[in-house]
Formats: sequence, structure tokens, C-alpha cells
Amino acid sequence: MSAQLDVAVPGFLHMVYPYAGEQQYLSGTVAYIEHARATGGNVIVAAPPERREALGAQLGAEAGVTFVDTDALGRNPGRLIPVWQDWIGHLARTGAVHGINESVFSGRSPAHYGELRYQEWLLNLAFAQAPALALMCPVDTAGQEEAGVKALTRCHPLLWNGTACVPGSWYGEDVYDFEPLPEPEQPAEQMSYDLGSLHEAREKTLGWAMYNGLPPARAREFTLAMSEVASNSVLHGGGRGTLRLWRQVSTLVCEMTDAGVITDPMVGRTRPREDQLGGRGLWFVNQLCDLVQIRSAPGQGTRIRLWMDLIPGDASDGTAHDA
Amino acid sequence: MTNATDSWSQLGPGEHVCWQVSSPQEYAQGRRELIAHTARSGARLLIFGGPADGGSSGRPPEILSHAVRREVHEARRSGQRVRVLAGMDHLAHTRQSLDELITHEMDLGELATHGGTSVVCAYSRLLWSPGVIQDVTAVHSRVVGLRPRAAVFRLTRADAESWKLEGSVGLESLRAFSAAVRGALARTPRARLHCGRLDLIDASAWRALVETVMQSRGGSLVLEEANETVCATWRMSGYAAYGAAIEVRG
Repeated sequence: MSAQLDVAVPGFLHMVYPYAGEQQYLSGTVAYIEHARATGGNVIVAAPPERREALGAQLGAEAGVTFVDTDALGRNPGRLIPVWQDWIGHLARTGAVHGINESVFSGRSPAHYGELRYQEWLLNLAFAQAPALALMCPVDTAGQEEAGVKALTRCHPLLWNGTACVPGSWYGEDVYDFEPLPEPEQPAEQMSYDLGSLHEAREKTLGWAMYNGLPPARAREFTLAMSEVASNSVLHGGGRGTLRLWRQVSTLVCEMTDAGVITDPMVGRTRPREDQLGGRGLWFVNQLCDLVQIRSAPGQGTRIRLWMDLIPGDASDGTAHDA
Repeated sequence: MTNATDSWSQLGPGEHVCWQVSSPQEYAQGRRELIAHTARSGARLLIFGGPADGGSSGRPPEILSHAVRREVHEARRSGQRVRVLAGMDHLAHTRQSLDELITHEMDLGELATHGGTSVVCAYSRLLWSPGVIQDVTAVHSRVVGLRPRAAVFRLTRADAESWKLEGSVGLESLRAFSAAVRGALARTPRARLHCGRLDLIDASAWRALVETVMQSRGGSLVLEEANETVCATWRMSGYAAYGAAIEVRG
């Protein structure tokens, strides 16, 4: 084990905390919070309600900890970075910020789980220039497969061992290794689109989504998200693309492929600046959909999948992942 | 509606119709039927521009447009109900920018709105590009012709102070949308847009709207009766903090 790292230094310290059960959760997180308070930093805890309650009871009313609700994220992990930017925004002006970032993994589909893990990896890019931010991500390992836990630790440069922050063993710094996107299990509706047929693509998506049971307002949001991605194909992806639509148990999936390449992994994942007039298309997409998967590489083009749960909050695709 | 002949029987006061004409023969027949129908209805038909034969008048469109307005006002003063058939092949130039063409069309639309005049604008498909014909339909209340092309949004007058914005506004409509909003702001600098039949505005169109309002020097827009998707994307855009005088209400 390496020497303890100081969580109060400028920069971004991103650590995973594998724990098993509530007792270990509380002992590790309380130790982290006490360490943070000893250095005079602000503490912010994003966790599900039962975790916040248990931690609040342990810390007492005068703990000086800000608790936030992870429900603000909705189901889309693509909202993780801007939500954290909002949470730490005003606190960061008054000193170092120490966060606890606990995402809920149980009950998520493999697609959700994969994107959640990718967001954890992207946090390293998003906050690389942070003035002084430490983010500790507790992961309940009870009953989890070791491979799943290991895959998650690869997204964190550091490890919280329950009492101290140490370098992680498996962190993959350079390139994120995506899982391949599986082909649809059900036959997909398909059409090609270009500038002249954007409206037709919208009509097709709206009609198909409503036929498959999405309420009108959410069907409109799904359609708008599709339109944003298709517009990017027209503007940046060779002028055209291919749309596929299919249903995966209780989720509707819309996929667009084109010849363009997205080089900025943060695109659509950070709130547009106030003085920035463009660049809102993929931002809208992440805010409107329950899951967004972007795969793009030179020579392979871009493939973007948008997921919309038929029942909000139910992301089951029949293969729930427990990692 | 796809057939002009059937359409004239439904031509109501204050309508501003885009008639997409496929051939000189179709124009001639539709014109005859409009003359006959107007005579039966007791109104007076003013016809400007000749048959859509692929030619184009050498007279500047603004002079012709002024002449149309003058004759309509004179006819109205004599107490007659007026209909206008505007042969746009002669009242406008294909070399005009879309902005100018939409301005021109919105002028004709004002004749319809303010005096109850029915205005039919005939565009020859032999002369005008399909994209231009499609774009100008955005400021008409109805489109007729065989298999007509229509813009996916529409911005038309509701009353003296307000407009109706309908359909969906996306990347394919940006030029026409900006031109139409510019035209609306030129006529009503503090414009209200009724959005009860507006489906969505995409990110590129929100940007176009913000830029158009900011360039309008004092213009402001209130989007009313907007659905939750329109309201949500406006909030997400963050443009409210950008300084454009736009308000979006559900």
C-alpha cells in the first residue's frame, strides 16, 4: 500500500471505495468526511435516500455536510458531470470540496451499467482542472462479481481503503475500453435520412414511439432527441445517416449511424456556457433521454443509441445487471 | 388539399394561399375556375401577373407589390369583397433572396389579414426551385396544388399583435424560420407567438430564434401556450440568461 495522499491539495482526486455492507460503508465514509473536515474543506454527499439517512444519523446535525439527492440525475448517467458541476459550483469558491458520489448500480441494465462506468471515467477529464476537488465513489461489493467491481475501479485513479487515499492498481488512464454494442434482439424499423428527409424521420420516430406505448410528451422528447442527432449527421457526418428503431422489453431504442467522427468525449455532457451560442444539440439529447450511448472512431464513423423507458424509471431490458 | 379547383370553393376571407402550379395549362384552368367562383360569390377578383409560363417580369417586385396593395385598397373602398390572384412568377424574381421573398409574401399576407382579402399566390414549379417554393409556404395559411410541397412549420398572423407558430422547427427550416421571424418582428416588434400547435423547436432553431431577436434591435418575442417539450428545451438551452428578449410560457 502506498503512502496516504492529501485530499486537500489542488487538483482532482478521484477514488473508488469498495465496501461490503452498511457497517463498512459508514466507517469508510465517516472517516473520509472527518478527514475532509479536518482540512477545512466543504463536504457534499450525493447518495440514495437510505444512505443519506444512515450517514446523517451517524454524523449528527452539526456535521456541516451538504446532502444532495441523486434523483436529480434521473436515469441517464450522462447527466452526472453537469450535476456535479452544479453541486460543487458555489462551494468551490470557498475552498476545497470533498464529495461522495454514490451511484446506484443494482437493477441497471448492462447498457446503463456500461455508461455509468464510462461517466466515472469521464469525471477524470471533466474535473482535471478543478482547483481542489476530491470525489470518493463508494461501491457496494456485496454479492457482486469481481470482474464488475474491477471494471469500475479501472475508472478511478485512486482508492479509498477505508482510512486513507492510495493509488489504484488497475486504473486505465489512456483509452476507455467500450463494450461492443449488441445487435437488436427484435427486428428494427430502418430508414436513411438526409436534410430533405429530417421531417420524415421525425414523423416516423414519433409515430413509432407512440404506437409502442410512449406517452405523447415523452414521444415528442424522444423525437426531438433523434432529430438533434440526425441533424448532426447532416452537418458533420457526411450529410446523411441511417436510423433504426426497436423495442427492447420496456425500453425504446433509437440508433443513428453516420460517417462522422466525434473527437470530444465531453460533447453534450457539460452545460453550455452562457456566452456560447451553439453546441446544445447533444446537451438536449442527454437531458431528454434515459440513456445515451455514443461510439465513434476514425474509420468506423459514429453510432449513437438513445434509450427511452416506456415507464419512467424502469430501465429493465430483461437482463438486469447487479455489478 | 391537393386540387386547386376544389380549393376555391373553400377559399375563405383572410386566407393567404400558396398555389403550386405544375404547368401553364393547370394555371389557366385554375385561373378560369377562380374567376368563375369569385363571380358567383359576388366578390371582385384582382389578378396580378400573367400565366405561369416560365417567363419573368422585368418590373421590380416592390413596385408590383405596391400596385397590388393600391388596387386592393381602392377596391375595398368601393365596398367590394376582394380576392387577389398573384402570379408570383411576375411579382417576384427567382434571383431574390429567400429573406426578400418571404418579406414580399408577408406583405401580401398583411392584405389578407387586415382586410379580409383572400390572396392566392401562384408559383410555377417550372420556374421556382422546389426548396424555395417549400420555404415560402411557411408564411401562407394553406397550400394547394397537385402533391404540393409544404414547409414543416408555419408562421402566420393571428391578429394585429400576434402570430401563430405551428409544426416543428428544425435544421431543414432555419433559413425560412429566421426570415419569417424577422418579418414578424418588423411588423410587430413586441410580438406574441401562439404555439398551441407547435410540436418542437430543435437546438439549431432556438439558436436561430435568439440570433434573430438579438439582431432585431429592440424586438421581443413571447411564445405562449407552448407545450412542455418546447418549454423544457428553452429552459435547458440556458438562452434566458443570454440576454435575448424571449419569453416562453406554457
